[in-house]
Amino acid sequence: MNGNRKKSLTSEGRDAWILILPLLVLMIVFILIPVMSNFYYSMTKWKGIGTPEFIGLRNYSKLLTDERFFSALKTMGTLILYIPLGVLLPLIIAAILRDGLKGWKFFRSILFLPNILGAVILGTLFSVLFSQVGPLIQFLSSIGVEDAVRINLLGKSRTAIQILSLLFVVWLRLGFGCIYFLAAMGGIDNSYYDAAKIDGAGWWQTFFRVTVPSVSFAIQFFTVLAFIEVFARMYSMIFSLTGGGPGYATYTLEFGVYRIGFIGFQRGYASAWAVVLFLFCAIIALVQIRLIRKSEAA
Amino acid sequence: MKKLRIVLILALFISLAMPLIAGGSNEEAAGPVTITYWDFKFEEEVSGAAFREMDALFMEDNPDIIINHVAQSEDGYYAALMAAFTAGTDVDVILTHTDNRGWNLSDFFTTLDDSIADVKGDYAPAALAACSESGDANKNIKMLPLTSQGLGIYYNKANFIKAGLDPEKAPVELNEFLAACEALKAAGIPPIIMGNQGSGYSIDFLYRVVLATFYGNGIDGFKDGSSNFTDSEYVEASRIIKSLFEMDYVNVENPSIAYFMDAINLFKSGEGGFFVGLTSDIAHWKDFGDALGYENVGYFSSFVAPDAKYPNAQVNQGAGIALASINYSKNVEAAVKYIKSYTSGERGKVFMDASGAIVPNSTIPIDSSNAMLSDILDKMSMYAAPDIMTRVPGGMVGDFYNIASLFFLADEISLDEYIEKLQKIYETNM
Repeated sequence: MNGNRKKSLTSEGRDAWILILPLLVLMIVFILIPVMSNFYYSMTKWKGIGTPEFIGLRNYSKLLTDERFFSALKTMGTLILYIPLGVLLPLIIAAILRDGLKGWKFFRSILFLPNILGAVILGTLFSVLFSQVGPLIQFLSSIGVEDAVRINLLGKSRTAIQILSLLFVVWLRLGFGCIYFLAAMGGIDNSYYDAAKIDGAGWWQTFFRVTVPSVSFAIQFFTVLAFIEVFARMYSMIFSLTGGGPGYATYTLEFGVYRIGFIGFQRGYASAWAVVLFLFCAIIALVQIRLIRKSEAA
Repeated sequence: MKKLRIVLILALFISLAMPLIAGGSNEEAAGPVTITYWDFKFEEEVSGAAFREMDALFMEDNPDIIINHVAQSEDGYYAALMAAFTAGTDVDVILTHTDNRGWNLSDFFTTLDDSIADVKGDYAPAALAACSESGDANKNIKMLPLTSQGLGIYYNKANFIKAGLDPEKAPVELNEFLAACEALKAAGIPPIIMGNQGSGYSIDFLYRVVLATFYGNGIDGFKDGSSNFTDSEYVEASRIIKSLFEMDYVNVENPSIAYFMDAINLFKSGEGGFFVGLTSDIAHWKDFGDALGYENVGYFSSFVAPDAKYPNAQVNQGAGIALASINYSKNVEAAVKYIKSYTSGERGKVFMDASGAIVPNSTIPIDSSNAMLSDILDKMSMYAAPDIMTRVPGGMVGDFYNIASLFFLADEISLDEYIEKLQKIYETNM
């Protein structure tokens, strides 16, 4: 009996392997091998074709003297500072919607619109909107703002990075955040709210003492997602909105990998950038795994 | 269970084998040869129409060759080419720039020395040199030139008259140029039309023409580090260009409009006094002549600062865009035949007549009745100076735009910081 069971388990296991094999092959070919080979290429001088020349850690020492690299880190630091707002805002809106805002289905559609349009369309739209020949400046001129045409919001480092942060980290993710938090709040027992009401808690007290602790895992997960997007999914919006400029004000690691590797044809050096990006993403992934395990244990 | 496993194994085998089966056989079918040509200009209205006509003429003369002309976007064109070449995609011919963007891919280009021996003398030596991997017109030719490209300053004579300026006298000296800008500004005409959105081409082009007068052939030094951004010549050119912005001689909205095509169209619509343009392809003598009337357009190579050592210098890249045959192609012979035909004789003339491009091949007669064209050609042949952007490492061009935007457009860094940043990125890319 035991032997049969063992045999049957083995054959099930074999079938499982057969089913998983195509995905495994794809993962090895398209993820594992490129990631591993990227470590090697980061120690070479290579333009993307021909034979790479091994140069040890020279690309990494070059990285430490490259202004673009530190500008990219600074840009990402600024973007990260916007993550709390990008998490809190959809959380508050979701809490308001949960209370039953009149016409909320309409607002939900409006809030979700950026997700449907996507980063490239939004980047292009806002580059036109904030342009010196765009509707915003024309409106300002029409109401008598002197020299409005000289206002170039995307042409100044400070305003460009703030606009990019607000658009990508806050506004673009608002719709998804609301839906996500609203779904998470659906699981909160109403008796908690009734008890809070009986105790005389106000809206904010209820929000911070009942809602937030009840959806803490969702908040943590959404925050981790925000980090991932900032590190590895911003390219399309930067490309269409600011092109990484002015100067390197909106330059990120991901953007640098593309510019150096695919436009500058310095694939070896770009691989060193990619290794740094990989390390950041690996840290985020570890945090994510830890959170999931923690929630499973709870 | 056993049957299920067999089905699963079969399904797995088919799923893995399908892509290979779909890839088809490498066997060549008998019949006409198909040449696949990737081209980033094919979508342009004027050039595209000319290219279609040139293809039709070629296929008429060569019924055994079919041209599969594929339009590609110029954005990301070279990254797409690299991916295609690395993957061995069926591409036989490509259109390429003759600067570092093209040379980065030269490992995949056919060396044409032997196959063009019979027609080598027809091509302008400067153009062939630009198409040679070693910069030598006699060997290592890996492209054939479709255009001879240069840069210079066009001006609107009608607006000169409105501003009380002499339209027949090009303001070549720097003080004359600045005085003309002032007069245009006083007349309510934006003196210089620029487009610097995204890639700051107007700033870039202005540098190219001005630096030629400072360095002459010394521009070549940017290839090996013997010329530098910290040179007094480069600093002086930067100071002059910056002063044009500071004195409000540049259209205010220049950071928000693209050179291609917004700024070009603005100048063509009659706005502005000066425009830094090209000599071939687009934003050139024909483009502006057709739009404004040839009698209303003037041209000069550059304004000249008092301490510029090469006052007549005319930037001449030798060749602007060129065609290359891909060396792993199964039809190299037919591809070479095609690119030779495309850059000479009847086919080349179709392109020249339609676009106004200067095709540097003696089998194509130049329209000598056009005074502006003759003047440009004279300058390009007598006072040719290299183009800095074809000499600096290709990897720093994008960074040049980034840094220049901080200095000229955002006004966030000083001249010293600007020079320091440029020199640093230059050294990083060497």
